[in-house]
Amino acid sequence: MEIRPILSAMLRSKTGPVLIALQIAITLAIVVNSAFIINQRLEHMHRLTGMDHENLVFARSYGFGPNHDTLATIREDIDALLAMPGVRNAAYISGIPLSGSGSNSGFLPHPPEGENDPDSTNANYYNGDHRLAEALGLKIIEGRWFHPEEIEFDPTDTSYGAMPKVVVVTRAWADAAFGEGEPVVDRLVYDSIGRSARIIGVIEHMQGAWVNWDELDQVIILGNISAAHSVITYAINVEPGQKETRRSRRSCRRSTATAWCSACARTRTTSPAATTPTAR
Amino acid sequence: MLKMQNISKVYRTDLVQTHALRDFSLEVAEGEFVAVTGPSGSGKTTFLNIAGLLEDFDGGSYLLDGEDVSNLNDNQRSKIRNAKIGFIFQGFNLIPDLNLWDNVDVPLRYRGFSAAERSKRIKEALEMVGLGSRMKHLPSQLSGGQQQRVAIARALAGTPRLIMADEPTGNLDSLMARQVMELLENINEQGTTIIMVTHDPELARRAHRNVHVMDGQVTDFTEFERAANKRERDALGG
Amino acid sequence: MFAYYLRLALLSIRRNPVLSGLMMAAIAVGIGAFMTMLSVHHFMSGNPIWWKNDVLYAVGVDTWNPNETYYQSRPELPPQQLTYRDAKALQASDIPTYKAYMFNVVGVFQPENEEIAPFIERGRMTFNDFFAMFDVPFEYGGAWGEQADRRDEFVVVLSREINDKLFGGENSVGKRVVIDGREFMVTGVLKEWHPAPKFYDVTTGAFQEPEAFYLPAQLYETLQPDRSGNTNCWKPENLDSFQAFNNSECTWIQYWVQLDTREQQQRYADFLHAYLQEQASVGRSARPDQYLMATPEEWLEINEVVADDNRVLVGLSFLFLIVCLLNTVGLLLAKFLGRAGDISVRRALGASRLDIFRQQLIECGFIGLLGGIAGLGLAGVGLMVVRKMYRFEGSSMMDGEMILVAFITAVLASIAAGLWPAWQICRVPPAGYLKTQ
Ligand SMILES: Nc1ncnc2c1ncn2[C@@H]1O[C@H](COP(=O)(O)OP(=O)(O)O)[C@@H](O)[C@H]1O
Ligand SMILES: [Mg+2]
Repeated sequence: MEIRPILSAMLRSKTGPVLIALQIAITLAIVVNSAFIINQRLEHMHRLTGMDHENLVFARSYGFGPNHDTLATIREDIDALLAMPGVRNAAYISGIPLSGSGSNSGFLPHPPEGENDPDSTNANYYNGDHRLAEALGLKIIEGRWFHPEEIEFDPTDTSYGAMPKVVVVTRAWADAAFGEGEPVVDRLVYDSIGRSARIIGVIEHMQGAWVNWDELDQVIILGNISAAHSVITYAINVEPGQKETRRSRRSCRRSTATAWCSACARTRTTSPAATTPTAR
Repeated sequence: MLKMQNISKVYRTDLVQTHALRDFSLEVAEGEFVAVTGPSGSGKTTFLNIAGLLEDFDGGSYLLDGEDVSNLNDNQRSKIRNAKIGFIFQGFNLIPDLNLWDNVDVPLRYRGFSAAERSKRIKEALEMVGLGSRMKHLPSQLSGGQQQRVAIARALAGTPRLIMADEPTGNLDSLMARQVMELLENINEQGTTIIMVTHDPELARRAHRNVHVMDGQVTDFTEFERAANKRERDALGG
Repeated sequence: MFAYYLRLALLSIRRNPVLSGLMMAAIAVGIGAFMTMLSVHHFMSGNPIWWKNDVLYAVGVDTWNPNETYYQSRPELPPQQLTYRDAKALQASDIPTYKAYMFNVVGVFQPENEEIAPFIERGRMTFNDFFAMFDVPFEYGGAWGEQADRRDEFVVVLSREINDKLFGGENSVGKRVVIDGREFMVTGVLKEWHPAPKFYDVTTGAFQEPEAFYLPAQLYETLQPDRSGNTNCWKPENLDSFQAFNNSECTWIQYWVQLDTREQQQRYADFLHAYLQEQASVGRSARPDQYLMATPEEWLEINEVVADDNRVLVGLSFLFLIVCLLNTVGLLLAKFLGRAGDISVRRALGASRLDIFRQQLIECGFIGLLGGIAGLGLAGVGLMVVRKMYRFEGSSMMDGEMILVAFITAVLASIAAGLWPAWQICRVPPAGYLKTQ
């Protein structure tokens, strides 16, 4: 079967060019539309996260049982994590950035006036400890990070976002709440019921939980450990190239665009940690 | 069987008009064996195509088997071709990827015969042309003469009243040509009307009647009986 | 005659393996892309409880922020979920045939078998009615008794998966499991149940797997479990204790009812209206006209379970299929032109135009069928990729309906692609291409 003469015959006929023109037109339509969608995605992906994703691993543990002691668990877990070869740093955080599961609330630069103060500015918030900046690889551009003795824990306060004494905010939130470029270190930030905390530092970038959210870059890190959840998350910074090995050691799965997550349930009494995928 | 009066046929290509037939009149009686001769380009094939309802004509009248065919639609013409006419072409025109059986089967399929009827007819036709043992062969596995015999079997299988053969021996050597001619004579003896275009004066002489075509017109009839007396003249019909 | 044409189609494919192969490939690629996207769409836009669509209702009441509606773009809708107070109040109505509020919790299982380490699972606290209302299939046992909805009974219904894990798939009814340090008695084990979308709770992902275990919501205040769903609050209020949270205006509970008759539906609507009026009259923020009774279908639509992106992708993949078909048209033209001689012979021997047209279309349909089979294979691969990307779990996305659609699309598409070429070829004059040599 000789294709060439037939193809050339087809090209000479009237139908051939029409077919080709139609194909080009439709293909163009497809390409343009796809390019538009891809471009949108790329914009999301290329936003600065401010975090050291290359070397970040997240792990979760879930405390249960009557004798569960959150502080002791965190201390022991972090000690154990730091003792593992290849781990550079490990810290407590209340949620996993960009994971689709997190907390957000309005915060104000002054005490709230009425139930609907227009100055209330949304922030994704996390609870974090004194190691978190280093573990995530955050860049502090004003002020400083938490000292160990500043991190509070009140097991009786089961509210979300209970206000600590000190917080760190992203420049994006500071700009939105206080005004572009305003110095905010040592100023007070208020929650919606008027409890306040002192801003001690500003970080360049960090992101909240929801990839498609416009206010993703507005983040506040509260200098305390939350008693609202039994789930404890650890941000673990590993040496370059270790991420894959760490991952394969546990039964983990991809949970966010960039971070690996594993979870383990543990009690104070039974120590072998189980690993299951994280409940979102 | 066939009656053409003042048939004309014009081919128009971009600039040129060719009068392939003009005032072409011919009558062929049932059971006749007519040989059509004439120089190349004189309109022989055009005549056969029109007579065989493969092409339309532009003017004149044509009665086939007593029926005026000028107003038939494509579908009706197809039916008549299928049931009443058998074609034998110079280039055989077998379908290369069908074996002999399936090639002979083609017109029978469109006729709507039952499987058993088709089977019987195919076997008979192929046996008649001496190829009963090679039904599963492909045309490419046969010699030219054998292929033309398959084409004859295909033309015969539907027991048509009229067979049109356009230079059936044109691509064959003289031995094979004679065999094919004998076959056609047999068929004719059984009552089938045959119209055959040929360049071979010897074969033409074996027909009942010769029709000479020149420039799209019938110029001469040579009755078979007279042919024996006028050999010299017939030799011109090349 | 159909069988004859099929045989001719096969012969023709064998005669032109390259052209036929290209055509099948073009159709396969087009069908593969289109079916992948269509299956995702079909999967996402399915209604897994369609047979009860006219009696089930997701319930919403608007006790949201007086200064701002829950949805900016659809201000007429109440919030997606209920407050604990509202859920408890609605549960008191005896109008519905079935009624249940429900929410997600997490719990740690401590298997008796020491070899299995403790593990976390998501669970759902709800009412006995949940199972009857949603036709949840049981492998063993059944829902807990109604009394467990009124006074604390430590009973649990397990999913099939968790029963496999804990009891090796055996009948565990009457056995005990330890969750968060407490013993619960198993009253039932579900059959495999993967409603997709997970219509009754879309707040944490409409395609999430159902929960591993179910507890009576009655136990909520006793157990004070970790909630794992979505919580939305508007009111500045102190939430520093379990009590404070339960009394708050935070919304976090899903609510469903079954209303079998028009009369019930009307009465329930009146009930919701009256309830909101009463709340407003005692000084609570409430919009009496903003209550919602949405069928599962409406509920999935309101919650935009099918992403717009997905619709765009279905459209784009359809365009792509058309490009592939245009290619096929070209290839078919080429193939048919190469066959003009044969067709001429058939016409001369008595085939009508219609005969030829049919023969060509049957050949196209046949090529389409083969291309469709290959396309299904490609769609299977595509869906595997999609599943990985979107992390859809459980139920297969390519159901019988979609496979049927794939074949019909493939065959119809290639027949459509063949119409023009077949028309061209059947107009070949019978004497036009007869060989003279
Ligand atoms: N399809 C056609 N288009 C244009 N001219 C044609 C066509 N068929 C035949 N002719 C012309 O008509 C005349 C008669 O041709 P034909 O009947 O084939 O002659 P013969 O078979 O006697 O050699 C020739 O001049 C030929 O060129
Ligand atoms: Mg000729």
